[in-house]
Amino acid sequence: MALTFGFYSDPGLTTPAPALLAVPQSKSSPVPADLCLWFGSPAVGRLCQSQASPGVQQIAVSVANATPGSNSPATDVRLSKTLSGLGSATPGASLNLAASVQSGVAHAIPVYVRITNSLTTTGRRSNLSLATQTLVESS
Amino acid sequence: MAFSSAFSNAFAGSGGAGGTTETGAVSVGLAVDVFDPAVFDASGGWVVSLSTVMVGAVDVSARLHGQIDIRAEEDIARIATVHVTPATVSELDGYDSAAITIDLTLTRGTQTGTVRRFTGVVEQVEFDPVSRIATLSCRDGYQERPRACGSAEEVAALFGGLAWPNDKLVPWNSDSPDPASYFAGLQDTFSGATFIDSLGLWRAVPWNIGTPMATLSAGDIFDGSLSVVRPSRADLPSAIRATLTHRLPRLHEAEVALSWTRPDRSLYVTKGIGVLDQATLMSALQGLSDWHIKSEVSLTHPEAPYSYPVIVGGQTVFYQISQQAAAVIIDAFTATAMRRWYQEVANRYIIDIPMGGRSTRDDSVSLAIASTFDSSGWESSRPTEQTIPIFSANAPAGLPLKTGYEGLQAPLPPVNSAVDHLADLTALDVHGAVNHTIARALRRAAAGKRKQRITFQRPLDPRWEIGAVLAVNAYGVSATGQVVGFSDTLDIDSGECVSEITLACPDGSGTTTGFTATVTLPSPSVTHALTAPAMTTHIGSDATDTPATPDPETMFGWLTNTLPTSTHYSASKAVYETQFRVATPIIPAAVRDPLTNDLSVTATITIAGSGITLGAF
Repeated sequence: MALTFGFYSDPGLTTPAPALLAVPQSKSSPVPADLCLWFGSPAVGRLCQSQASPGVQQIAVSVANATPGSNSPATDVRLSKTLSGLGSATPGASLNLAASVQSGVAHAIPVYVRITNSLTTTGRRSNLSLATQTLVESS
Repeated sequence: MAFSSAFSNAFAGSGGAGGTTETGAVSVGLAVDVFDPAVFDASGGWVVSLSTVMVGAVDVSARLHGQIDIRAEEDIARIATVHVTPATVSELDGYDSAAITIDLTLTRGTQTGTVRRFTGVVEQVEFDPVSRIATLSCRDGYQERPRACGSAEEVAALFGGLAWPNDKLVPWNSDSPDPASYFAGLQDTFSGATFIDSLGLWRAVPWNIGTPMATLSAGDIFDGSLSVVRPSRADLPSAIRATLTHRLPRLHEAEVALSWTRPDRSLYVTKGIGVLDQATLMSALQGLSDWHIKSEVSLTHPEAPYSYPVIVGGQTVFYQISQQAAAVIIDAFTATAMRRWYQEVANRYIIDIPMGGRSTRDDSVSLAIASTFDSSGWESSRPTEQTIPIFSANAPAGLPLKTGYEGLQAPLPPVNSAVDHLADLTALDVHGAVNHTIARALRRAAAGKRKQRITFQRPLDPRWEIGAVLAVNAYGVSATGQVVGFSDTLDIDSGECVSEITLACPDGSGTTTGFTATVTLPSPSVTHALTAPAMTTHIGSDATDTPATPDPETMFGWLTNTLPTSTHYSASKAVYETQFRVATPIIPAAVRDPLTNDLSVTATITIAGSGITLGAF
């Protein structure tokens, strides 16, 4: 059995987010691309916490960079729980969601993502991802 | 839940002990497609367009034929059509309901740009065995998202908090949920567009038109492709009126004083008229129609020594009453009669949204809510205290002080006034319903104005998503609008690649579409000043006291007759049925008949947009 918690593409938690979110960005004067995912579970009576310190450590979404170097830097990504918070979010910083997240739509947490390209060379960069630490889901 | 390979593997946990505990990390990949804006330059030269189509895990890009069409509009599913030669029969079989993504890549000179334009599922496969080409009709699953919702909260979440749910006007039926219908009800209040974007993410984008992300000039647009469409008459009436009717009972209560005092005792002797007994009086008081005696009736009985001197013919004689008779004879009484009634009131909260159109057709949004209350039961409830005092003296200590309201069903309106009873509704319910109604009207108004559109074609430009704000300044047309739809066509065989983009450019009043409304619930200003006709003693068959033509409409009080043995007796005058007639006032029609109050709502309404400016011909 897999985790029921994850990123969803709608606030009703009806559809899991696509495995890859591909965002077009201009190499000059890029218009920031804002996305919104929802972290949660449509299951009933489930609880999600960090495995390292359940209920204490915040569940965090971080910007993982698989291949640093000439690829997109993590600082091209800002995370926030509100759309208005994207402007002041620290580039590349992780986002704390909560120490515990219950399942159900009412407890789903929006994760706003703003991608602003800093590269001047064209091409697809797939080195970035959004990831949580190891989580434990229980009933 | 079945997961497609196109979707996140974030849910693949590592498993855990006990069956109810799972562990794992969740993730979603990000890809940044960096392009040179020169790729989308429409100036002379050549552009190579490619598409990468993944059906399930199969890359079919090298086997595409004909046109790829991708069409998107607000509030409907995005559709795509591709033609592909399947490599094997099993691959063809695998197309059914497979996840599909379409990436469009443009190359201009040395510059390349890739944009994902479609994420969805294969809805239908049509295979031509002669050409060996399968036509894949694809949708993005827009309708399925609301249908998958299991609660009102889930549906409401699809609008990002920008809709106006109201369980009185758009109720969620828990017994037989219909999320699609509920979604439609909320969508009617959302001044924005919902759609699934190119990445497969649900979006709720308000109809806001701010700073354009790009300005397109004549050189960016195919010659002859630019068109300006004004709203039709049907879309643009002179005004849209939003009316919320709240039906509720107005509860009235009125009181009147009743009193009667016996005539001079000499008449009992000289005319032999009857005395008013307590049973007759109480029967009359308790038999009132619609009116009730409130609290206790104050009765005055003859007092000891029960022998009263009266002057008859200049002589003093004594009128004798036994002690037993005195206990039931009434010399006077006072009482308070009360009546409750309800009046059906319809408070109509009205707001007009000027549209500027010349059509006088009535385009209105009329909704209604009702306060549910058993008004008849309330009206007929009676006081329960004794109308006759139990104790005439030395009442036991500690008895509760009677108010006259004992037994009456709440609510208790102010005496001789009225109260509007919301019953099962609250003021917040009314406010919410008004906002819901205005939101519906605003969406209709904004949608009508947004029918003012410009459409143009340009070389394939998949950068712009629904909701994006673009400006056009070409061919004498200057406008800033919001993308409400696009159609991308990429011909694999000819290489022709075109985007047709439609912008809504309403004549608006700002950069946002929304409203703020202030609603003040009316408070009834009602004062009842009812008076009962005077109740006196009317003597029948009397030569002097009985009118020649007695008027029954004025005969209230004690009706009695002169004895035939009296010298005052007249056999020709009207003889009354002995009784006590109680008079109660008539309720004026203004506070009785159904009432409609038209109430204006203070609101600030804005529709985003700056219109279309046309240069001089």
